[in-house]
Amino acid sequence: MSSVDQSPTSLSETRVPAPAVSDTAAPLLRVTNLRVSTGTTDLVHGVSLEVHRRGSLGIVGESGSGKSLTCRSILGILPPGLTVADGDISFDGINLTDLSYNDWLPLRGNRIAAVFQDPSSYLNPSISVGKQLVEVLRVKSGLRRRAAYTRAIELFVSMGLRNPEVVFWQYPFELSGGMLQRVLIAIALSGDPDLLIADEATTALDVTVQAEVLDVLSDLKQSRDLALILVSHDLAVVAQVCDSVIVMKDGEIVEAGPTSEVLRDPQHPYTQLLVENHARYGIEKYLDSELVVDLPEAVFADV
Amino acid sequence: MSNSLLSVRDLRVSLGSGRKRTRVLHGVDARVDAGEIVGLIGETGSGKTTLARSILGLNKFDSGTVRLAANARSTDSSIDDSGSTDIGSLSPRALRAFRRAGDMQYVFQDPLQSLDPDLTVFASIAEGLQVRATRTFAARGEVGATRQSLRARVENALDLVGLPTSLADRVPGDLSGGQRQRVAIARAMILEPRLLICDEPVSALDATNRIAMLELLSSLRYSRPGIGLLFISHDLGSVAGITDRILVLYRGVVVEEGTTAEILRAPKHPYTQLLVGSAPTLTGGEADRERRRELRVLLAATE
Repeated sequence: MSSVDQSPTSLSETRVPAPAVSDTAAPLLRVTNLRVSTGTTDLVHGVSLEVHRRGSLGIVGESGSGKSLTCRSILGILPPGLTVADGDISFDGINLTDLSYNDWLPLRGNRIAAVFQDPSSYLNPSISVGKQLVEVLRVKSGLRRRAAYTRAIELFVSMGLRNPEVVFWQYPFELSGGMLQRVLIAIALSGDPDLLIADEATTALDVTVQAEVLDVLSDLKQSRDLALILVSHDLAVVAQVCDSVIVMKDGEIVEAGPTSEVLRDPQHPYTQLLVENHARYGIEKYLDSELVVDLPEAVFADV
Repeated sequence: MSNSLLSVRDLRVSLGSGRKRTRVLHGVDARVDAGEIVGLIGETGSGKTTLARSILGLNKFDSGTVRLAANARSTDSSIDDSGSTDIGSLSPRALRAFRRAGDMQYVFQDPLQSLDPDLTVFASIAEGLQVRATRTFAARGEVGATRQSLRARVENALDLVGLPTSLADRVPGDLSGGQRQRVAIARAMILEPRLLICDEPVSALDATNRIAMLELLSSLRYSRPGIGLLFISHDLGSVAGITDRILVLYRGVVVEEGTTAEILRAPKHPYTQLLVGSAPTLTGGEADRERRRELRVLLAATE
């Protein structure tokens, strides 16, 4: 088991650099031609993506586009009945598609972590949030009780939670959604992972809180050696944080590239629609003075 | 003031009982004119939904007034000297009669919770009309809706919200989220309200459905001239595209009010600035993050 954990570091250093977007080193995560299937129908058809160390990739798509299934394949937690029918998922030299339960233990949580939508459903309602973080630290990082408490407080502080000693003893129902999501990010980061997958992690939050959580993620990207996959249905959310983006529709990638290029010059009609919608209905039309049309007022004058 | 459809003045509302009773609205002033789309923006717990419920007469007020301008259809008993209905002063009986008339309608965020899962789309949409037909119409000596005219009116309502009439005999469980939301709007619109309040109308929807819903809602002012719309949302970006005016509610007080363009281009209150700065846009960067950080500190200091 330990050999699985050890070998990749040496492997990745000797590896021939792959065609990279921004980094010259081998990617931390490479998904090649991933196909997720129910046995009879494919739900994800041939998805390929790369994430580099310190890199951030956004995955945009509607519900049912296969973005969450792609993430779940990377975490090895596909829903029952679904399997990776084809393709390769290579994380730091380890092939993730054929790992046993025991092989996953040193990886999931320690090297690949995840946060999902609806933070409260991932926490035990009858245990204080601090104790839940301590539990993870003791099991996953082998810390003693005292050290785990100290580390937990440190993690809460780095998540921008005020009064961490108070938060530690609070129960999930006593905290707001934004605070809970920060607790979950703290738990996810407790194992000091190389890759964090945030699957719609900000969707259920207020905009101001969403911006706060996104800011936390942006800060983490810089302060830690962390690669990030951010899944969202909102292109703008991804644009806040990610260097590169892939757009998925019906289980396929319809567009991929550096975020700025995709936003400036979207190629696929679906991406064009997403960008145009923002220009028409978002606040962009007010912020960019060149674009102002002020339709509602003009219309209102006629009524 | 004279031509405003809805006017809320110095409204104070407390919720809860006993020692847990807390003031939620601290003197709110708001108005919606005929034919106008107004956005009510605020974070979770700011009192947006309490304000909406108070407008509908679902909460008792501590003080203040909520007035809906009268029209020809208004029931005589509810109109006072100023030619409008003071929602807060209605007797329970008068309030029920006022509600049956359907002048104010409410569309909830989650149509699954507001639509009876056992009723067909037809029955859900027709119900309000049937209730009004048996009581209000009879009281005014008008002829109630016959079965055929009911069918025709439901089909009209479905047509108004862009749903095929073939869906009339389905139940909500058969429909997609976007379709259910349309049914909820059709249910409200069939009563020909003069004020439509939508609580987070697009929050639960995908990018494409969201745009379709915004287009539908903004089209109501053409299909039903003179209708006033009040949109409640925590996300400025999601409704800014179609609102004429915006009210920003923060901790139970309207901290800022102005045309959509004014609010977005030159927000004055720190919370509004944070709100505008937090709305995800396709552009965004380090400077925005720094600014948000400053504003959060500023707002936390005034807590």
